[in-house]
Amino acid sequence: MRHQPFFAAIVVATCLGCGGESERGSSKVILPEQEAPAETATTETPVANSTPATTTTPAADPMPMETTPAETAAPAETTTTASGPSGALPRLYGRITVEGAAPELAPIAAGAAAAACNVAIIANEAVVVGPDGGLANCIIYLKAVPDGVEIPPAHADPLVVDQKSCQFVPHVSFARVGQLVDYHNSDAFAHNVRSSPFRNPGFSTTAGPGGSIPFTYEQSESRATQIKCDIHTFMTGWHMVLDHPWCGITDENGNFEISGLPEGELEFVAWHEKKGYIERSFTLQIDAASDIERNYEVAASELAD
Amino acid sequence: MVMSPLQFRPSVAAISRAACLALLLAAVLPISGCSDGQASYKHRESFEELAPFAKDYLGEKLDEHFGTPTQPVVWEDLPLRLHAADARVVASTSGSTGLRTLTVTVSDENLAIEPGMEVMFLSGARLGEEEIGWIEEYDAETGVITFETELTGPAPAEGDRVVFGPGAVIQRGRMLYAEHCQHCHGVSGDGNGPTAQYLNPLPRDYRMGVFKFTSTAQPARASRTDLSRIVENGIPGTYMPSFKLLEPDEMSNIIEYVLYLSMRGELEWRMTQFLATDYSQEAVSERIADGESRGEIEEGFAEAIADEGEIAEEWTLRVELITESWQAGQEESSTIYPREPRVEPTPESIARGRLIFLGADAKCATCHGDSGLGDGPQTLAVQPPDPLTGDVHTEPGLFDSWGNEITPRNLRSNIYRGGRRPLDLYRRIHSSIKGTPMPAFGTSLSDQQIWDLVNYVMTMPYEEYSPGVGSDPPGTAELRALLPPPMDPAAEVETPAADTTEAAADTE
Amino acid sequence: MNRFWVVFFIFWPIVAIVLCAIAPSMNWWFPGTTGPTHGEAASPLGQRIDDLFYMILVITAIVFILTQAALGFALWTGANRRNDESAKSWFSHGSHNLEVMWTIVPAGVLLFIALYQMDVWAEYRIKDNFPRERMEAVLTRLGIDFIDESQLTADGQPVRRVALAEVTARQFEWRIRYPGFDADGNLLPLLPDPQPTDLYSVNDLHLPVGAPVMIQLRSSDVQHSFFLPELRIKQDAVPGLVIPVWFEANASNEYTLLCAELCGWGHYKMKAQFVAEPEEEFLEYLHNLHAEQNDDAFLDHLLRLQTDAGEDEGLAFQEFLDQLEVDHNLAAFRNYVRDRRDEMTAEEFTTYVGGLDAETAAEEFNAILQQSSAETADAEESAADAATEEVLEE
Repeated sequence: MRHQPFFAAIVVATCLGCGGESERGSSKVILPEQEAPAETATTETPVANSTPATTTTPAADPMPMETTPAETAAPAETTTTASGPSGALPRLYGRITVEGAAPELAPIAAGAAAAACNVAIIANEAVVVGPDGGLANCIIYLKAVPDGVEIPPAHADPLVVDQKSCQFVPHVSFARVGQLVDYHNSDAFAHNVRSSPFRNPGFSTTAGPGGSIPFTYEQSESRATQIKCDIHTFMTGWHMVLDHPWCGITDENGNFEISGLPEGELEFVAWHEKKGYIERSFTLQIDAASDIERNYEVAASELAD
Repeated sequence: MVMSPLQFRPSVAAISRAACLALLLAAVLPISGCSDGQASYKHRESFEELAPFAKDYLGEKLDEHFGTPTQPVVWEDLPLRLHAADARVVASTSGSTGLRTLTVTVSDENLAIEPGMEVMFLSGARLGEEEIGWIEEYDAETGVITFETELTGPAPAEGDRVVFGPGAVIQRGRMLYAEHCQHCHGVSGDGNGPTAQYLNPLPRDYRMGVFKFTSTAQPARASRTDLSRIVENGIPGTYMPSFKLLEPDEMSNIIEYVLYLSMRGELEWRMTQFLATDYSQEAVSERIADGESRGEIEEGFAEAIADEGEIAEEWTLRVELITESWQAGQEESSTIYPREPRVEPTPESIARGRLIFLGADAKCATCHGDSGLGDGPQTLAVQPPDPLTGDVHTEPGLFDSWGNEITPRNLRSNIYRGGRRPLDLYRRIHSSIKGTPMPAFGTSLSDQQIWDLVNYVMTMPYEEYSPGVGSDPPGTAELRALLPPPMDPAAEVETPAADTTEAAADTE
Repeated sequence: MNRFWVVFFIFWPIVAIVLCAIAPSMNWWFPGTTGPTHGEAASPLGQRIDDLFYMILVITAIVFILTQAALGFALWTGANRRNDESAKSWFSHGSHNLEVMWTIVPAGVLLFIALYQMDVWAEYRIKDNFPRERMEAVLTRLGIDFIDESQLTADGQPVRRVALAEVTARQFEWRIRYPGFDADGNLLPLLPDPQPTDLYSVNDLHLPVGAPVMIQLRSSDVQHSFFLPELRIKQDAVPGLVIPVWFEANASNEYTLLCAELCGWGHYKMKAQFVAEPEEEFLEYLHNLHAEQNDDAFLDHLLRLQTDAGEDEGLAFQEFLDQLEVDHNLAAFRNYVRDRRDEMTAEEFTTYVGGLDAETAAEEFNAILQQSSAETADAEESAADAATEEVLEE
């Protein structure tokens, strides 16, 4: 249609009222940005000297395939309690404890719902406190890797997250970008995993009895991601997905350790699913010999329902 | 209106004056009616909870890249069909004062190229030239465009990218959207237009980039075909009507605009989520309580939004991720096709389907109920808090990703929202209903099993069954007894129970 | 100045009369002037309704002209009599004769209209007056066995299911249910309750042309009004009622289907199309619906297997079979081919197996048919899966 004067007049009139479009394009075109993609591309160059000690921490260590997840949920951490931190320097370690009497959370399922899972009750794992007040399942992680730091490649073994007796085991886990996460189902009935990450695409897929859902996160997450089961909606678990190995999860005594840190000024975050941020951000100056201890006390009232 | 004595004086002059006034009113009324309309996008609630400086930043950034509903910005980075046509320059001729004609090869024509359309160069020497060229004549056969007035400045080279009617698809899509969709789906695509308050279920909020009924694999986005299928056929059982009589190009323009709104909304949502971690009003006051000063926080923010700052990089990354995921959804490989043909709906297949429905492999009955009425035990459970929507639930019920309460489908109602073809049901089961608790079973059931289940579900509305006599159709108890026992008997069942009690004891 | 008003009030009736007079030739009276019928009624019944309209128009035009002439006369004489003290007005108020006259004359006219239109109305609205024989002839030609022996009417006759579609109005669209086909491909009658074989469409009503056809009209929420302006058919859809509506389109065309319900915000959006088409095309339309509604997209899977593998040439036949074997659906493919041996030709076979010339394709096609029938024979013998069969027996 040709823009005749009469038509143009109508267009102008409508513009007055509606701030409308003008036929002769006022469109603004923004051209593709020529910049290189952001740092998240995680150039995973193989590192020659990447021994297990430098790449992973006990909590972050993906469980080997052959052992069942239930068995590997805690042992590495329990040994650390006895012998203290063991990883390579530079290192950040510490303990997170509950101040006051640990809150008693109601079980997430009991009665018929739990009986359907073949157990009497299903405990709420949102707050797990050890015998001497250690708070388990806190995540302490390096927020961003400074430029120029070589990032050790992700562990080749998959991270196994089991669904057993209607619980995610482990309840809180750490996966590397690019690492295979194997959502396993050890129950005799179907489970579903719904993951709602912030950067990665979410999914909601079912694993039949004995089945598995393999999934790989391609992007680093800025905070912990919840996983849940839509068939047993009381089931929840958490993931931290990062493009680097420097993340610690507290064991049942509240101990964590991040070893083999890069040098420089590093910003860390400490988080717990019930408390939220234990510390939103803290910055440490790390050099080759740094061995920093950092302890926290979380008020019991902040963990209650 | 003030009554002036003039109006009662019956004279020809007065009558003609009255007629003029009437005409004027007729002309003015629609315009003033329009101006009541909303000419800006509404921000989501969580956006309003950001600290003022963060709001300003994100609001400006969105306006810069998307403009307003009436002045949309056409952003080339988005994977959309934005322009009437996309072409490459083959040759050009000059008249006495400048560029006169252009020979092009059109690679992508979304709207017919017509005289009066703008010509814009997107690469080469003419990129960024302010002078606008208008088409006087276009010959589709030879690909020759004659300009209305000759263009001064550098001549384009062969292979330069040129578009006709830049943003025309979005402009037209917006008008059609305003005509057909806006009163329910809202100006910003938030599913909260003026009529939305009367509707249950609520109109779709596009701003999460999630559409429920798709033909694509579980984590993939909806394809354009999926959206046009919904626009064409409506969604039975909801207020989404069919727009079957739209012309194909009208349909595609609307869909581009819906995608445009969806991308804008998702970018806003994701960036708000990201900013809220450190720069929501709540976070800022928490940080101040922890000893930071407001000045420090704002300084940190300014650093983060500068080039290579973490927020600036997050924006770039987000745009990339949204672009890539929408592009991937359009790939033919994302579409789910059954790898086996449909199993004939024989009584055997239907019986197998019913066993799967009731059994432990799929646990359909947990939500849909043994009788398929959508009344399974899960509907009575109280959901844990949802970190994405921030909702804490106190009442029983299932919720979708938008935070709205939903019920599992009553499979006896003979209403199929995502389509009633066996293929549609196959896709619902295979790759889920996105954004809802209905998960994907493509990983746990074989094609044969899914088809059996489809066959059973399709016979449910006709199954002999009178509601009220009992909660389940006849034979359910007998069938349940026939189901295979749990995979791992006693040992598997007992140990975890013991573990849990121990763990519980530990906690105490 | 007084004369001005005389002229003014006489001018407009004259304009009105002139417009009335030319309106029929300009097709201004009726809806659909821009559509395919140019304002003409597209059904025999509609033409009779139009005739009724013109009859009423003529009557009212005569009355209008007479009253306007009287008004003009009174104005004109009144205008001339101003300032004449002797010529006082007389008042007709309370005149018994006049009252009787202008009561009886319009009553007579109305009674005439009421009686005159009675048979048109009855044919359209009274079920016993429906042109049932002609409707049933259509059903017979379509091959529908519409006499339902399983149900009897009050007078002991089997129920005759003459409707061809069920149109359900809802906020805000028209959902249409057609009868489907039985296993032998015969069109079934439309039963009141949904059947597994039924076919569905939305905002797109197809029915045979040139003969009366009946639909069942329902509403699933509020009141709607089924309006075929070009056919002059209008019927309210009332929640809870199933209302039979019949109509007959004169010519094959796409007509407009609207909702004429006034109250409620979205009825104006309920624009749909009614396609009147020859019976063969109607059957073909239903066949297409059937095919579309039962498409399992397995062919698309095979085609994609082809295109995914080699962008240009596709897979060679043996590679294709190998790939199917990897996917564990070689057997399914063979069954698929076997099940469609009646509809599928060797040429069609090549479109999705790719990389074959016509001769080889025919060979392979037959080979698959033989092989698969042999396999099924074996399978049927061995397949005595106890669990499911037990279930069935119950």
